Amino acid sequence: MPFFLGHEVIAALSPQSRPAWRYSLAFCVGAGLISFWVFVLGVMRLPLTVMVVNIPIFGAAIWLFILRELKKCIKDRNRIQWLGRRVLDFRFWISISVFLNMLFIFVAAYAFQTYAWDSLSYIAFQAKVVFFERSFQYGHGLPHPSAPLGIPLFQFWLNLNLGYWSDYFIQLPFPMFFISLLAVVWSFLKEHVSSRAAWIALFLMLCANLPVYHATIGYADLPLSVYICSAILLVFESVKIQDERLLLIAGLCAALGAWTKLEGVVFLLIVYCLYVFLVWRSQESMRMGKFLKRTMFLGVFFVLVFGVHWIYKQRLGLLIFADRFRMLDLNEAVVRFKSFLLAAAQSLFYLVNWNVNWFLWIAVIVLTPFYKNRLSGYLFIGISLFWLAWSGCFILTNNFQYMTGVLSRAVLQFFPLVAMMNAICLDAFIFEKTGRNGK
Amino acid sequence: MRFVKLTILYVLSFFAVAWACGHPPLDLSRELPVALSDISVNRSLIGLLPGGANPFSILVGSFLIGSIVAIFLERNRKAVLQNIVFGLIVLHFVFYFFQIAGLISDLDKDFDVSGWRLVKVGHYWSGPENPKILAERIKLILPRSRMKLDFQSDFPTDKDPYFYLGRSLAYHLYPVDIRGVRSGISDGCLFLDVYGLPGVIPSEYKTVLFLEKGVAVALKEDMALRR
Repeated sequence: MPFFLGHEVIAALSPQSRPAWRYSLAFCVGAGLISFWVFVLGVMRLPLTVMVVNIPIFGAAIWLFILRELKKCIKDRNRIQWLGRRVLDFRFWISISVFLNMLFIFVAAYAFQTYAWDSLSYIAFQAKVVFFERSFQYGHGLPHPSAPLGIPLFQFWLNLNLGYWSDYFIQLPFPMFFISLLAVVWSFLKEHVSSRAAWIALFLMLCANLPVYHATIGYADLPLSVYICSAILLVFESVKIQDERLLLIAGLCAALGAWTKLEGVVFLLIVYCLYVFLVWRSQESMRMGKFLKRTMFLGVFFVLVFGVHWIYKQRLGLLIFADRFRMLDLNEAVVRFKSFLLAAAQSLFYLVNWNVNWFLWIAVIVLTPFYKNRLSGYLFIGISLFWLAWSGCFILTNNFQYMTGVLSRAVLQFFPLVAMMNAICLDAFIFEKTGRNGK
Repeated sequence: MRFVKLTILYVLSFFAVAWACGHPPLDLSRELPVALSDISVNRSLIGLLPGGANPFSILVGSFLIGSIVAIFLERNRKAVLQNIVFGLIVLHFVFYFFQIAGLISDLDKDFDVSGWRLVKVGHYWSGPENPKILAERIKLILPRSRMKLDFQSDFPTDKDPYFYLGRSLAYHLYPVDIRGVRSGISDGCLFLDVYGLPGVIPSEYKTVLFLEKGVAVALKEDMALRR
């Protein structure tokens, strides 16, 4: 707000001033004006609340902005038409939804101390123990000792720099992860499909309740989603533009996914499967040596990051999974499969976790030739592999007892792929010319 | 222009169906955000509107009606399908605005957005005892910041809400350790909802904090003397 106010005041006072001046002085002028405004309010004995302080400032800045734009419009009549078109532009409305989401996310994440279950139980708790003990020697006494320490140690680092333990500051990473996810999805689709598809995907992502809510609490599912989906997209781009260095970044992302949550280890296999699929589909003649080199690129960081973590925990006897991965009786697998289908249907279609994204996904599969587009076909296989992995985990292992509780969070980890696939196919399908009056 | 018309059609059908179900637009704009703000870490649920109508059925109904009208407006079969899918996105968008309005207004339960300050602590410091407040009260009376306490409760601390309460207390109390993170002998005991207090407190312990609802902190004599 100081920047916006300062910029508009300078532009109003001196319309001919160089933009360099306006941008460089905007913050200083705005900050000075705001502090003087607070002083005036105090002298007048008005309540110093957010509304009383901010609304007049914001209103003044908006008013100056509109005056400036109006003057330009009067000079250039085409701009009036341009403004009219802009309100009809869907990007305008999506921008509003981005603003509303950010408002909710930042208030909900930063106004409250951490309060969510897993965060209090082990993620932030681990960070707090490391912060006060400055040692990992208490691993035995910690809950979920086998869980990777990616998020807790980052929270520890944040408070280490702050100098004291803040229950607010540890919330800092999660909105940032969400913004990163939006940026990854948007920029990738803009580069590889179209600007319109990128905006649609952005909107579909924001419409889903659960990812937005997870951006405000201290759970590790959203960070894992960012890492794994980025790895999958990087693999695609690497094969498409034949830049094997991108595989290193993809491998790094996948490794950091495994460093965030244990599921990330299995997801690395999914990334590998997708890579092999792409190589097979590209029909690029590749020597075994080259293939192995690229495979190594994809796995080197995983071995480094997760290998060290695994060996360290194994030596300390901290790889305790509390019977979670015990194989269940195969004779009852069919019954569990039915329960899984029911829980999945409930999570995807009845609840408003995802808004109507999964309905759209079904519509996309039925109505559009999604397999003809290389990227949407790739995403479809990725989504199928995630379903395969999670169904196997729930049906065959003792994780079945946690299924109804955590299934939606499991879906959250690959949900961005669904939103992207929907956006690509809907963009092609809805805006495809039908031969009626050229539309 | 075709998409503008479709947008108007589906938005109107949404409000028309809601009105037919007994929810005029103004009432709907107040009721629907509340029904769509029931969210937790594992799922987001749809609440019912006053009178028992399910918002999801309004969505489905408006989609059907909008689509029927859209079918009559268009002869080209491919274009009809395009219009219907586009209609789904439009309704998605309408639903979304009520959803985000619900989430933002739900914040007001704890946080006075207009004044930018925390006003109610009970909602998010959830649990029957407001663990954050309890932890701060306990920390105030302890002689050292780093201590180890045993934790005793008559209620099952492996089932919610006491599961959450125990974990939350442990987090907020740390570096006062009640989860056995540090090894060694404990300096005292935290009693939470224990029947018969103070009679159950061992004789070698000295009570340093006694609250209603059977909550007490007792320290070993030597530790209590350091206060």
